[in-house]
Amino acid sequence: MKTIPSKLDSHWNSLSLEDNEAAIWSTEELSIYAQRLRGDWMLAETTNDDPAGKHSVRRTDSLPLGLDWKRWAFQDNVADIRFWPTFPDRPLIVKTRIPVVVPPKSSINLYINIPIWLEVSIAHKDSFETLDKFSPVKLSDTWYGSSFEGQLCYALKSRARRNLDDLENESLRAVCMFRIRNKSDETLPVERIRVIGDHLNLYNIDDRLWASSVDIIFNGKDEKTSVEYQTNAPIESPNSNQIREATKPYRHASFLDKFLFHPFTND
Amino acid sequence: MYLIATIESVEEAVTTYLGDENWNTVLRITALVLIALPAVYILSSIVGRISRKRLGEHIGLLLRKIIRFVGIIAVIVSILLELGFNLGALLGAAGVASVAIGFAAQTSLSNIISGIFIYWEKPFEVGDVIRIGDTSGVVLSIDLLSVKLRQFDNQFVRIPNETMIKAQVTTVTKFPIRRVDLDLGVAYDSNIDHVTRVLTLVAEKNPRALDDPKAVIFFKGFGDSSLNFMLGVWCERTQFIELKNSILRDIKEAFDAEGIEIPFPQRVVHITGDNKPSNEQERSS
Repeated sequence: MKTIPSKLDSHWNSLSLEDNEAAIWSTEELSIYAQRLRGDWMLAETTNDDPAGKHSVRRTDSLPLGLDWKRWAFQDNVADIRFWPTFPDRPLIVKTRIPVVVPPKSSINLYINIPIWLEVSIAHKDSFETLDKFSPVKLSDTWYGSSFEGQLCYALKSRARRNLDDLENESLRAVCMFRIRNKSDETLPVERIRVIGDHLNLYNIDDRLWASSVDIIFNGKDEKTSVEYQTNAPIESPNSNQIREATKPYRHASFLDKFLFHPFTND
Repeated sequence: MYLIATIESVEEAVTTYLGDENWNTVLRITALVLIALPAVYILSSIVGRISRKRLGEHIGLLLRKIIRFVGIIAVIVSILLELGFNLGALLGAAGVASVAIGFAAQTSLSNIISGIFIYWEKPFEVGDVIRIGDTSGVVLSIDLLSVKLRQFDNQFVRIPNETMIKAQVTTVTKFPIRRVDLDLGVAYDSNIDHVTRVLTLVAEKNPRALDDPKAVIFFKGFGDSSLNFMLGVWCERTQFIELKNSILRDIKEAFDAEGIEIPFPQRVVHITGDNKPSNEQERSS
């Protein structure tokens, strides 16, 4: 079990609030208010429309009127609240803006920015207890499966950069590297990749968030495609700071992800 | 002292009246009512709960009812035997009566047989939303004679099984995703490609609209007053109402922003030489 820090920077942080004290976590589009009130914790969410708004967490004295509060009542009086990055609550279907074709017997790395959500939790009995999760970036729904059965996911469009330097450095995104190996004799058009946030670790490298990398091995149209979520730190920084462990660690298994690659799409 | 004496005298009176043998019969019947009936209810509930988890709501409900029905019949038969009834004669009489009742209850029998087909075919289950004719609602129970629905305005509807078998029934919640189909009309001076692009963007921007399967946009043809389009947007089935509400608002805002007119019904009027209108002008919203 690795030690997870209590503070990353000014916006991923823990605060200790006195009774009746409040804090705000805000981005350009979203503000989250937290208030400690007579032993209870209250959370409220409002949308912003301020493109120049700063991304920060701080104490605040001014609470807007008409907030729609949610309230948590704990037996113990808890003072510490944490605003922490987490992955979205559903899998992501990443679509490349332009389909990438991987020639036979070759491998490539693709860097993709994955959206990060905010998890608000309180320090309770030597661990953090999650109060709620918020999505600072509005993601569109998408469907993984057929019209008879499947799973609701979030859609993400990506330029899928080959070089890390070309990838935009965004505060509410985590870099995820996909190693795609085409071991077959066929060309492999990569159009959609399913990413399950529950299988990813989260790291902090030089004030940039990173997800653990994902290996995809394509063995041919009629063979199983192997997808493996790495549990190590990204190779760019092997000694990086792990700030979140995978909630459902990936168990070593291989499966055919029918919706991973265009040739196998059956709907 | 007086109370004890009263109880003893009552006990003595009952024993004298019933006799030892009859007293035992009463005890056995009481035991049947107090033990066997609750046991039937408990057993049916346990089996119902387990089978509901493993085999679904539909089968769970059916098994629970069968066990309860058979159990209660068994208890009644046992009580009748204890009371000394001749069941052979009773069943004979019941047979004759059932023929008579059968003729009188053809509709009920038809409903029962239809109910068995519904159980077997499983077109919907308890909890599904179905539509039959003008009636829509959540299925509360599928019984031997009828299907019970709760309409969205909280009215209770009982539909005979025979009707369910004969009519076209739509199970709204059968599949996990649904398509919201919207018919739209735009003014004749609108550019068809422009309208298609705007509708595509509207569908892409709405977070409840599924990115995949993609929205479908058809140019349906030339209406009396408008160019007619159909926009079909997919969503997760629980989001149907929210998507329908939000996308109509999005379309209105996008059309306003892009200068696309949603026309009123209109009619072209030609003025003839005597300055009288050849056709009455209509303008209505």
